[in-house]
Amino acid sequence: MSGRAAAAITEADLVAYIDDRLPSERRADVEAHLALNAEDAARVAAWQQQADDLRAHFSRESDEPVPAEMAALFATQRPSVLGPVLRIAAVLALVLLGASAGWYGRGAFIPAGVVAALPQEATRAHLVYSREVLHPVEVTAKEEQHLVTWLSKRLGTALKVPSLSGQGFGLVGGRLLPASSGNHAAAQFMYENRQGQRLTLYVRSGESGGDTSFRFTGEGNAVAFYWIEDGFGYALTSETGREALLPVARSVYEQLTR
Amino acid sequence: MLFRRPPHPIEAEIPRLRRFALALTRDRETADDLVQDCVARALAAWATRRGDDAALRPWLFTILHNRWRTRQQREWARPDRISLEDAGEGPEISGGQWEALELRDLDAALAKLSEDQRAVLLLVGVEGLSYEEAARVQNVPTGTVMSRLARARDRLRALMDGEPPQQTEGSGRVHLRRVK
Repeated sequence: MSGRAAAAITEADLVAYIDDRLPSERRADVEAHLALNAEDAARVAAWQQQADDLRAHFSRESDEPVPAEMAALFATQRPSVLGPVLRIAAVLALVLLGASAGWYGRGAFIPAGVVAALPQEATRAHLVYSREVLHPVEVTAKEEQHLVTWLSKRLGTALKVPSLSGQGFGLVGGRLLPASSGNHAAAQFMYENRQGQRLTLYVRSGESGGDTSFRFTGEGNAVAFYWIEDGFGYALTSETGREALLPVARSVYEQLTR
Repeated sequence: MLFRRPPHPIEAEIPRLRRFALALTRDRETADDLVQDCVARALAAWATRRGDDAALRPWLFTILHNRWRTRQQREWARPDRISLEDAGEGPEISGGQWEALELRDLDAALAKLSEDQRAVLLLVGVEGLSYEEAARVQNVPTGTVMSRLARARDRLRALMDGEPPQQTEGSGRVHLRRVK
């Protein structure tokens, strides 16, 4: 060993030897140690083979195409020094636009008498917020009591939040939304299951035309079950298709009409 | 738009993020959901990010790892989810009597490692992170990364050789299974 007293070879040395993170001098020490120690040599040889196998194994995994959903996250992003400045400018422009539109357009956005159909309005809200990664809800389920009190007050009725744990769905939270009916407020409660599938319960006031029974609408995967009771419209929406949503919707209906 | 948008630096890291997420979650759907979450957060924090391009990968891996930990904590904190898991196929106890004879396949062997062991093998051995960077991702001291690597490699070796694994890091732990 070249006259230099080498420190004892540790397991950390063997690890770093495999990962090629040792200074050349220490590397030589490890190699000298392995030449004399068959057990460690076998261990290191197996690790080395394993490291090659793992690289081959994982390099296969990285060849898959990027899902469209992920690529879509970049659609509005540009890495640019101007980015933040432009974003601020855009926000300011929107604020100004909104302010002037609010003044000149007062009364124009919600024309009296034109009420969007309940399932359409609920589905639109569902599609917007169920995709939201950062802010799916305004108030989370942690503050469920506050959420219910707040939304009940805004809708002018005592809301009940059905429990869907039996169907594998936990409450994520809820939010207040504009509506085209009643006092123009709607409540949306969002649920999520272990697979990350989300469904929303949408409630709005001011339904005219009397009570309806439990109804179904939708095509493809975006579906809704809905009904009207005592002037309130309820719609349960998901993108799981009719069959998957039906038992959940039945449970919601039973809990709310009980 | 008049100009073709140049690819975002994060975009090039997506294949790596996906395989790291898969190594953590062992489920493609959960993994991609996690990557989606991670990328959205990374983009939101992009303007305030410091550091050069070399530090981009560890930065992204750290975000992803933290998101995964948060999700796991949230699942544990939710009584309805716990009961669902309990009602599932029951706890998987590692370190017991393994079907040692049939464990020749690398993927099957990897599945028998602890999540942290799989992650460290990938981070250091495949993605080329330094021990210090891997330690930051996993939020442990550098020494733990090295000993974790040794445990992971020994265990993988034993599994590939068809030997019954010894008691190693994380092996006494009870893992709750995801119910499909």
